Amino acid sequence: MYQELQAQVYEANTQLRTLQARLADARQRYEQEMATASRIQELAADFQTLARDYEVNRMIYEDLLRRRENARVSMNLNTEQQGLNLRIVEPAYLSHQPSGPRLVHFAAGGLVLGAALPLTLLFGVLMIDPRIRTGAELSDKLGLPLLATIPHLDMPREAAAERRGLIMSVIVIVLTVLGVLAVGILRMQGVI
Amino acid sequence: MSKIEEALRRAQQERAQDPAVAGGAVPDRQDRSGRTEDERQPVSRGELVGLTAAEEIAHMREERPRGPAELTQLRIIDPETADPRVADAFRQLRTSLLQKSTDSNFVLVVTSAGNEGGASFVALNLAVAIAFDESKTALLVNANLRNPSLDRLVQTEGEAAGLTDYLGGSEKEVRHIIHPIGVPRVRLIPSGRQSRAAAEYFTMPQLRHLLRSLRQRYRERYIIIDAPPVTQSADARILSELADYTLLVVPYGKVTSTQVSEAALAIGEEKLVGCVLNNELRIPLLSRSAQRRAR
Repeated sequence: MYQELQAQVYEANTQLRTLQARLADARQRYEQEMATASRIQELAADFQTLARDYEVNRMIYEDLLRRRENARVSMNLNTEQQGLNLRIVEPAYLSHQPSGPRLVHFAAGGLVLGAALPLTLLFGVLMIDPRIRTGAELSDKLGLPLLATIPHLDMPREAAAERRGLIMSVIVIVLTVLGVLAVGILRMQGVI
Repeated sequence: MSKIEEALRRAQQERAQDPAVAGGAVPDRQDRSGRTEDERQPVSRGELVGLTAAEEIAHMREERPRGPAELTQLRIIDPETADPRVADAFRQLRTSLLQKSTDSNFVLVVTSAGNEGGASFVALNLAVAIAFDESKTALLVNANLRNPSLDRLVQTEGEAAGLTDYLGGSEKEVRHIIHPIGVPRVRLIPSGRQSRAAAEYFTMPQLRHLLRSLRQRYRERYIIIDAPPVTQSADARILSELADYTLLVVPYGKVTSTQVSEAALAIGEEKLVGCVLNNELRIPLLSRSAQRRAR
C-alpha cells in the first residue's frame, strides 16, 4: 500500500513538476507573445507611414509617366508636322466698336478738309498771281508814291446781291454742318 | 457859307464904288456883258481875285442837281449817303494832291495802268471830292475819246459840244463846251461830236492854249483830264506833257508790277504825282461792320 501510495506520491509530484514546467513555459511564451504584439503595433505604424509614402510616390510617378507619354505623343506629332500647340492667353470677345477710322473721323475730316482746301487753294493762287493787290507792293517794291487806296464802291443792287450771296453761303455752310451732325447722331443711335 | 456871304457883300460894295470891276465878275454861263472868256480874264484876275472867285462859285447854282439815289447810280460819291470809306479815300487823295500843288490850282491827267482801270471813275470822284470844299470848283475834261464814259453825265439835251468840237474849230466859245453835270461846283467838257483820231487833236496847239486859259481864269478851279490808259495809246503821254501832274490809277488785281512800272516809265518821273490803287476788294462782313462803325 505504502508502496502504492509512494508510487502515487511520486506520480503526483512528477505530474506537479510537469505542470509547473508547462506553466513556466506558458508564461514565457506569453511574455514572448506580448513582446511580439507590441512590436507588431510599432511595425503597423511604420507600415502605414510607408504605405502612404508609397501611395504618394506612386501617384507622382504615374503623373510623370502620363506627362512623359503626352510629351512623347506631342513630340511625335511635332516631328510629323501635324499637331498644333494652342494656348489661350485671353479669351476672345466681340468688340463693341469696329477698329480703324470710324464715321466720326471721316465726318470731321471731311468738314475740316472742306473748309481748308478752298482757302489753301485761294491762298496759293494769290501767292502765285503776280498782279498787284496791295498798296505796299506799289510803294515798297516799285517805289511809286501811293496817294490813296480806293475801296470798291458798292452799287445798291450790287450790295444787295452781295448780301444775298453771303446769306446763301452762310445757309449752305450751316446746313452742311447740321447735316453731318444729324447723320453722325443717327448713326450713333443705330438708326442708319 | 458865312465867309462866302461876307465876301459877296464886300464884293457888291466894292463894285458899287468901282464901276470898272462891275460886270466883270460873273460866272461863265451868266455872262451878260457878251464878252468872250479870254477878254474877261484880265478883269477877273485883279486885286479882288479871291473875292470874285468866291462870289462866282457861290453863284454857280445847279439848275438840275442830282439826288442821292441818282448820284449813287452814277457811281458818284456823296458826303452823306455813299460808303464813307470810298468818300474818305477820295478826300485823302484830294488833300495830298492839294498839298503837292501848294497854293495854285493844277491840271491833272488821270490815266490807268491797264484797260478798264477805272481812271474815269477816279477822275470824276476826285473832281467831286475837290468840289466838296465850297470855295473850290473842278472842271473835268473827257479826253478818253475811245471810251467816253463820262459823257453820260452831261445834262444838256441832244449831243453836247465838247473837246473835239472846240479843237476842230466848229465851236469857238469855250463856255459852250462846259456843261453842268448836276453836282455842285463840278463842270464837264465832254469828248465832243467830231470823230477823228485822238492823237491828232491832242498835238494841236489849241489844246495847250485851252488848258492854259482854263487854268488861269479861276484860281480855285482844278482841271482834271480823264485820259485813256497809258498802256493803250500815246494819248495819255501827250496829255501829261501838257498837264502839271499825272495820276496813275492801278486797278486792283488786274495788272502786274511790270505793267505798272512800264506805265510809270512812260509817264516820266517829273509828271507822275503818284498812284492810286483802285477798286480794292473788301471782305463783305468786315466792311459792313466797319461801315456801320464809321456811321
